[in-house]
Amino acid sequence: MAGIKKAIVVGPGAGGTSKEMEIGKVAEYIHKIVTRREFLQVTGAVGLGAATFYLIGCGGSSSESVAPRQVFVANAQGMLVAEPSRCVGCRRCELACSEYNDGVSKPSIARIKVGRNFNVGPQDATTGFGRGEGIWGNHRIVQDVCHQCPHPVPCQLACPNGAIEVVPPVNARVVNAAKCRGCGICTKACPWAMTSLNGPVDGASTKATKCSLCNGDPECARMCPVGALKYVPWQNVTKDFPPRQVVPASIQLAADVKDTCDKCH
Amino acid sequence: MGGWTGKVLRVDLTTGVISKESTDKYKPYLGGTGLAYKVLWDEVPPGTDAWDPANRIIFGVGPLTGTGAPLSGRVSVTSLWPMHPESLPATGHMGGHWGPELKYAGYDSLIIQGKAASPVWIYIKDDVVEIRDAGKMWGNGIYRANAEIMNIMGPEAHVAAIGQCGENLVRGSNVMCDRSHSAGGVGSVMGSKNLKAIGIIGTGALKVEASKSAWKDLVHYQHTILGANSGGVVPNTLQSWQPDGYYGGTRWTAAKGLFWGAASPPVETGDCTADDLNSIGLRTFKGYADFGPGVGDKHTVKIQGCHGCPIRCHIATDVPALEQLGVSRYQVNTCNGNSSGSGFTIGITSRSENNITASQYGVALCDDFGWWSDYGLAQADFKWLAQHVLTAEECTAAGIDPVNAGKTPYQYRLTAAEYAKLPWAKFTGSDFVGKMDFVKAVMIQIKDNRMADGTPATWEKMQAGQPATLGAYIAVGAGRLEKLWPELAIQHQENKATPSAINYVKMGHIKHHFTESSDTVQAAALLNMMYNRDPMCHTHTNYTGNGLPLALQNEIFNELFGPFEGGNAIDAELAAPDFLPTPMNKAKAVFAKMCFLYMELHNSLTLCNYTLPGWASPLKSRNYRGERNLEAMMYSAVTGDAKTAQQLEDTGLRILTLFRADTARRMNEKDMRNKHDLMPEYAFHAHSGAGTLDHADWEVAKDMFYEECGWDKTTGLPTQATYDRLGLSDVAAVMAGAGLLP
Repeated sequence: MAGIKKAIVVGPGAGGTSKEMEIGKVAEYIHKIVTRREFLQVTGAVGLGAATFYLIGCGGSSSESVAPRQVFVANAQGMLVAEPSRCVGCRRCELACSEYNDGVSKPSIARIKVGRNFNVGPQDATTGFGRGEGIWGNHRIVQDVCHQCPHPVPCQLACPNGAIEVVPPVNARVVNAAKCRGCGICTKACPWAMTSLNGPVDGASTKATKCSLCNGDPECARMCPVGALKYVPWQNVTKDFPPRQVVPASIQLAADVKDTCDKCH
Repeated sequence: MGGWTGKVLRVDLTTGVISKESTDKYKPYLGGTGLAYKVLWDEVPPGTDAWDPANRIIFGVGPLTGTGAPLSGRVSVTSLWPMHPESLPATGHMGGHWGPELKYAGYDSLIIQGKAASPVWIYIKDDVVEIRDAGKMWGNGIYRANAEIMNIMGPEAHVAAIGQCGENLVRGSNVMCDRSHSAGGVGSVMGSKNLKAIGIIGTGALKVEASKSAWKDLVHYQHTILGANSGGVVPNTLQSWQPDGYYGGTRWTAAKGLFWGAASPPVETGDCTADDLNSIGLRTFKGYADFGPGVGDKHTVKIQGCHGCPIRCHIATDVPALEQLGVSRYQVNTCNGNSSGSGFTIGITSRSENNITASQYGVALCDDFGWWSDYGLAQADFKWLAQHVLTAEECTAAGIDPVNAGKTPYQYRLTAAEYAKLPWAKFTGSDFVGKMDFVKAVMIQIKDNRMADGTPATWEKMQAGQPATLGAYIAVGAGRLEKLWPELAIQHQENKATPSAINYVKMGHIKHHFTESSDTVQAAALLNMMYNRDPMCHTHTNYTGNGLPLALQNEIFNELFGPFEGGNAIDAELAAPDFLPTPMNKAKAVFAKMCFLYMELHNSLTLCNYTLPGWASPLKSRNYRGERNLEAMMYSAVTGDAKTAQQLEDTGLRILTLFRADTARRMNEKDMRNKHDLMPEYAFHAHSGAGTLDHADWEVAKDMFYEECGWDKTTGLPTQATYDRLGLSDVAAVMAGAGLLP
């Protein structure tokens, strides 16, 4: 995991380049969860400047009386890297994910997503059919994996219930099922559409699913019969992958989150 | 219970009624072929024609389909068989992702009956099932149907569709899903029902009864047992990591320095050691094995396959030369599908650039038109009819005026105008593009399926002596054509001059892993006599082709199913033309029975009979022993209904026995032994590359096999006691009423 601590990158800024934080001052905080108070102290000390990212959150849930909102700045320790040239489209990764995490065979909630790119690649059928990727195109099958976004984490900041948390020691962004109410906002907030619901929106027992990295030993990578998935030290690849969906304008930053952001940005 | 969703979906295209019924009735038959045999038995009366609206087409999946049980992506498509002259029941088998998607949508199988007034397709999105207009798609190929339905449902939809062949009632037509996966022979049943396609999106869950950790351990265990496609448990060539010298004859063809050359970047298949479960999918390098070194590896993008399967067997290619021929450079198929179109050519050097180009050009046409080659019989017959010059004696034997000696059958049988419609100079010429023009011309005639006067071809018109196009005579299928053209019937029986080694078996169908499987001649012959199409059974060859030495193969089989006295199940493999197998014995009878039972179990659970059983493994630490209980372990863990291997084998026998009863009932035949279980005469004569049956020994083989199954030796029909033991007393009552109890 060498190299992770050096790559604490926030930004890019409104008109500038990425900016590295002062490692010495934040290293002790970077791998653990910090409360808003701690967050303010640290970020205030180093002066983050204006980070522009998808300003997403939840509309209409602002309240003066809510408890201080947890904010996470720790980067993940590891990440999944997928190799489309190797992927044979068997989707055993999706099965391993849902069966070993949820106890059911249900690719639609898998935290790695291959089936949706299987036929024609990430394009729709009109533009993709026969000319793009997938089995109807050049046989290239793209496996979509969670990038374990650096702060600000889109799904986490969008969640009105604070149900997406950073869980040490791997620091994956993980759904806390006890807090999740199945509203589905996170599924719209992720630019790569990597979160799913296991039931109808707002269903009584509906919970969101997203990649937890299986505590550092991802089942999907263990299962892949062609070695097309690797678990590697984290790096920020969020700028390397085009978004799959446009985050709706209706999703706005919740006041309790926004207040926090305003303190340091 | 886990695995099953609990609901079977039924669509009546005549009434438009869509219903969902309980699966419980079908659970003793698991799913797949078992469920379908039960539906045909209960609902489709004897005498029904394959194209009658009363016929059912059943897309059968089972309790394991769609779960993480490895190799569980299969669908059995069962119906009364249009290729069969008497419309007896049979099954086409397709893989891909369509079957699992049906399960995720919430259905344990799909039964379709009736006939729509105009072309339709079926839309299935979880609970929402609708019959929709297919007027825009009708007349177009399978590719267009996929594109249209993906536009409507979304790019994640899985589509099973027929092409023009199915629409135009070409008997050798298929339904295809996920581009390269086809269920042969049943396309025209959909066409006869005005059903173009079935599109599915399923987002639901399948329950696995075992705990997460127990299930994970079991799946891991099964992965350790698996070898390569077709059951190979040792590599084809000796690898550095192999402690012993066992090798040869398997599809485990990966090697260091051997690449999927058309991948970007190229992917090395590598060592693929037996303990590396992250390279199982690289072991079977079928592109290299089938198209040859320097050609197959160069054009392979990857090895595709079915949902949930770590063993890959469909060759995804990139052949840029195809663009000069007007089709996509990217194609995918496997085995016989790769020679469906190119089978209409001669003079192309095997394992050459032209060979792979011709192969993939044929794939592009056949898989869009939805043509099924009857496992290659259509092209073998075509080549004989096009090339064999009739002698005066052959003319006389076939009732043809000997003045026609010197002509080929096509020259004699087709009208001069019809014969001249095909560019024969391109067929015999050396120009490659010309050869492809000929393939295209034949394929278009087949899919159009017309009489010479341009009207739709029918068997009745042919029987009345009306001339047809060459394509229509292919489309009608071998079983009917040989009734029309006696010289073909003689050729089928004697097999004297066909360019391929051995082809026809009986009743309109081809052999499949027949006596050329010369280490299990009697078992292979028994398999080929049983079904109403080629048997599509690989249990025998997957075991005997596993690459282990003969002595070890027999040792393992005896441990699992024996002990046996009086001889082994598996003979030494000999290619000598006069090879006579060792005499039939108890071990061979049990081997044959197990081959049947596990095929029926695989097609019902569903699991893949193109790789399983797992009776051997690649693990030296287990002394290459596999796991007889794999199927039972998977079934028990998923459903929670604990069954031993022996109990599950009885379920397999129940399924096979029901199939047997249904076949006899539809034939109204008590003497199944002599009227159904036929062998072509050539199987008793020496043939290159095949074992030879002996008449007396073959009778013993049938005796011993019937006895193993609990069937009567005289008639070959199941006995009352066997029906009762298998929970089929109601079937016995019907058979008794029809005078078909032995």
